[in-house]
Amino acid sequence: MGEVSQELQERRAYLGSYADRYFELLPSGGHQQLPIAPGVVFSENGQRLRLGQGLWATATGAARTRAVTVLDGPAGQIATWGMVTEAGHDAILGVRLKVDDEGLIDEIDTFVVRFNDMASTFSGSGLLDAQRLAGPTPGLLDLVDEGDRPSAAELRRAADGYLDGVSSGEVGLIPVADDCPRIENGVQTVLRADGLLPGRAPNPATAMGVAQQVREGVTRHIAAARDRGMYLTDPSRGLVMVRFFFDHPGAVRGWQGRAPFIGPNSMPAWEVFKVRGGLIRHIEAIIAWFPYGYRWTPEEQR
Amino acid sequence: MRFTENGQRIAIGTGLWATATRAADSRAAMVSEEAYGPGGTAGSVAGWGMITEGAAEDADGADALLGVRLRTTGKAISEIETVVVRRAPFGRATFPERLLEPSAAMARILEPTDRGTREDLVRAASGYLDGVARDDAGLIPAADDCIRIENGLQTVLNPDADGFPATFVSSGGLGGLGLGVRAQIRTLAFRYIEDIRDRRFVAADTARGLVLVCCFFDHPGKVRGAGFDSPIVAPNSMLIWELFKVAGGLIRRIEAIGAAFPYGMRAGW
Repeated sequence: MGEVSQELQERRAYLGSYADRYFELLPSGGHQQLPIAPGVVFSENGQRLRLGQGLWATATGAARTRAVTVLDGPAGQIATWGMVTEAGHDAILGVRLKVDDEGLIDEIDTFVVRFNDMASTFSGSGLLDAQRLAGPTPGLLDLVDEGDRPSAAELRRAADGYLDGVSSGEVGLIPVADDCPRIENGVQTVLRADGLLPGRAPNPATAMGVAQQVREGVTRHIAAARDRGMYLTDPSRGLVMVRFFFDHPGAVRGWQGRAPFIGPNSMPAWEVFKVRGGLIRHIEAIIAWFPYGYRWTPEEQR
Repeated sequence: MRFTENGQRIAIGTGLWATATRAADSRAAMVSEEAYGPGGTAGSVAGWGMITEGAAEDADGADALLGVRLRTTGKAISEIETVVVRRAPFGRATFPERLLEPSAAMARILEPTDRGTREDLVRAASGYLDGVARDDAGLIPAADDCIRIENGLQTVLNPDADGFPATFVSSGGLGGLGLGVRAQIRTLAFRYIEDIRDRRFVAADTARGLVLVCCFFDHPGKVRGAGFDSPIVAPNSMLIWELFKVAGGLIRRIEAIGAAFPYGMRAGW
């Protein structure tokens, strides 16, 4: 048992160093210097590209520290996100790395959240707090006491419960603490004392908690949280990450609710939940706006 | 029956089918083609026009430009491909009025001596796409007075920049709006287009000299060390439907619609 732990510990260390290296090399385009397995699979925003394309060709800067990291040692995977710049413009980069048995990276999925992006299906300006995302989220990586520690299965259930509850409107499905903050693209979107999102009109929903928002119908415009996958779990820290799409059908004829979007879109998200004592205590997510019905991999699009 | 909206396979009845509240009385451009074979008549028809989503009379509604391509086998529709352009072009707040009216120039029937075969039409359109992708005006069989309309705005031979916001004009975009199709290419203003891929020639009408190609323009963005400045910052792939009118072997008019999507995206066909 101790031997396994030692191996896991080592794997965690080099997974972390690979993620550091990814962000270090990005602004110079030096992807060849990563410990890459032959036949590595690389994707950016759901599209299979050659390693070196996309953000690898355009990045001009990357933060030295990242906001969120989930390290799943047994699965040989790490997911992390932080700030980058692309021709001087802020963007958020999420990276998932998977290593093979020889310790080489054989899968790279990336999610680049760009603002004022021509390809965005959201015509407004997306919210971003780049400063908040420039460093680690306080407390997120704290170890959870053994007695409060969830299993990997419990972590997945908590994440799915949240997504099921938000997309169905059934608040009873969501195991969330009343004081749970939710940070999306660096901006807190629940329990706001000021009752508004930065630069936006006052909105009473922003003062509500996660469960209350669902109870009051704030999330009724979400039709589904689909194509969930890429679950990474770290029970010692009570962390689980999942990627998925929120489907927003838009201003559907005959629907009585208030849709925040006129045209339909699908919102890709990487979302991390910190769970302790059976309840979600903190939520961090990065989100963007893609065409309605978008899929994570080209195979799924066919 | 397969249905896509903006490259995504979704259930028919969802997407724009669920949100549209109004459609213009006429389409700006149309092309159709029929072919007769052992299985019966196979047809393709495609075109575009303006629609409205959401509440039509207040701020909760928004105009969009809808392109539709239908393929029929016998009397049944077997393919429906749609592209919905929800962003007004070139930084404008609204779509140009031109899109509410049929393009008479495109609909005009050619004199028999000016017509080419389907292959001739495809060759001319391919030459244009190759020339744009490779910055080689010599590949483009376009007449000097060839007009190009993109999402309702005239992007060549438009010295007064009619319809364009001042912000776009001052950026010097397209190498100069007053130039013609080939002259713009000679300015190397289109170097930011990396490739024009996944070309599908979906309909041709030899009587009118029309051919429609659906394709993606790949824009890698502001690539480090590229040696030129891309007007597009972040990588994207633009889904373009481009309709060419060819007479006497030369492209006389181009009308196109398109929208930007994540870099590398496919059309779903």
